[in-house]
Amino acid sequence: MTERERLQPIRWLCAGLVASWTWKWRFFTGAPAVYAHTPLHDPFFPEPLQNLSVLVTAFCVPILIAFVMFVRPSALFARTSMAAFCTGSLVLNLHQGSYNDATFVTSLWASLWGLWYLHASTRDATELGVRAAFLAQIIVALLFFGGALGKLTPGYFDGSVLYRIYFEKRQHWSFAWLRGHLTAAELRYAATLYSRTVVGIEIFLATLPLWPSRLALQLALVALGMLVVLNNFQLLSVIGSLMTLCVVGLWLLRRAMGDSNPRPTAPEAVALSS
Amino acid sequence: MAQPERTRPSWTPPAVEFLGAIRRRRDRPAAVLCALILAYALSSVVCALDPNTARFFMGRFHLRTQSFAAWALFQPGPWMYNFDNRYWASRRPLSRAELDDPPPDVLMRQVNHQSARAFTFADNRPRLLRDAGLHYFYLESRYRSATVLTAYVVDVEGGSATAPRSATVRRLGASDD
Repeated sequence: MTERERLQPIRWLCAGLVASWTWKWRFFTGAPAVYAHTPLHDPFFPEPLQNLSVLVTAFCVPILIAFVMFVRPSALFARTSMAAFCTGSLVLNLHQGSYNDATFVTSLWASLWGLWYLHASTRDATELGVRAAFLAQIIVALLFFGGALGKLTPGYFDGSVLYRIYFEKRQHWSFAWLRGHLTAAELRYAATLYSRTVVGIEIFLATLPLWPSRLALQLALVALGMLVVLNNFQLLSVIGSLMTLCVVGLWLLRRAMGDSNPRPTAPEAVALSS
Repeated sequence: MAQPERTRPSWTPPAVEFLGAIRRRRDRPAAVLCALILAYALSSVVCALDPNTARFFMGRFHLRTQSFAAWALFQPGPWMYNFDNRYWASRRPLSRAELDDPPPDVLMRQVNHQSARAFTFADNRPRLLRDAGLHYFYLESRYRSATVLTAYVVDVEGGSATAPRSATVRRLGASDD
């Protein structure tokens, strides 16, 4: 594997992470002004994690380093970029102004995967595809496993939680369409069905490690895409890192299969065709 | 003439293949990453089975964990869309009866997670902390038989819609079932 090929998954991961972080750019460009106008003093958070400059630095530095990585891809910039995303995600996960955005949970796990990949591909690239794909599978599975268990409560079984969050007022096309075509009672019933289906999909995604890697990552991509299209386009900021991880895992698996079944050389191809 | 023995392609579960690969390649970072994932998955299982652990995790959403370190430890975990979470925002203290049947001057919202976002997050601060004075927030999370309720008051001082102001958060109390 050439250096360029080795770094290709990290370039894609960087692109996915930058896209995820900037997907809600309107919010992130407006939030600093709000935080500066009305700073909130809360003894729960340590002082640096209430500081606006820390928030802005943790958000901007990884994005800037990722752009350098796109322009001049090298092992050094790849490592720096993944370490920056990892540190930035961790800080943003704990900061008063961003702790509630799950974008930084998924990007933390994706960047940890990136750091692992850079380490593993330098030391021993054998069976890299198997390891990379399975790690991607269990990261996606973990996030949905917790999501599924956290929903095993009456509010999700009867659909009342998702009814109030999405069905009542959310302007997303799917909910607006349902509101326009169903009676109040039918809408409430649709919320119950929808809520149970979401829990079912999450339980399915939690079983990903039990499935063959290629199929698991393909199914995960479809399920994650459906969640975004049907629920909320803003979710792409949370799901984007995971979708990129699935794509990169699939690419590495395909490469691994290519390496274990090398194409026949020209004389072999002639012999096979005759 | 003896038929050649037909062998069926064998399929190894990816977990077994993965564990074999990390053992053969001595891939310790992968083992550490796996252990982390397992630990967080296990914490979700314990939360589902034990009401006290569920109260701890719901208390995280209310920013009332005993120590910041304990809260931070579980922040990378899978907490998205967990529990049945609500908050009430009001300019005066509320009774339990008013929480159950909110009067028109009380705002009640269902939230997907991290209920304390009601006053910490940028999308709510301009709306809910617009006027100077005391603002009361009641956060409630339910999970199966466990319920956690926390009351906060946010004191907004000085400033105006354009001039900077400052807000201080104080926890009024908590009750768990």
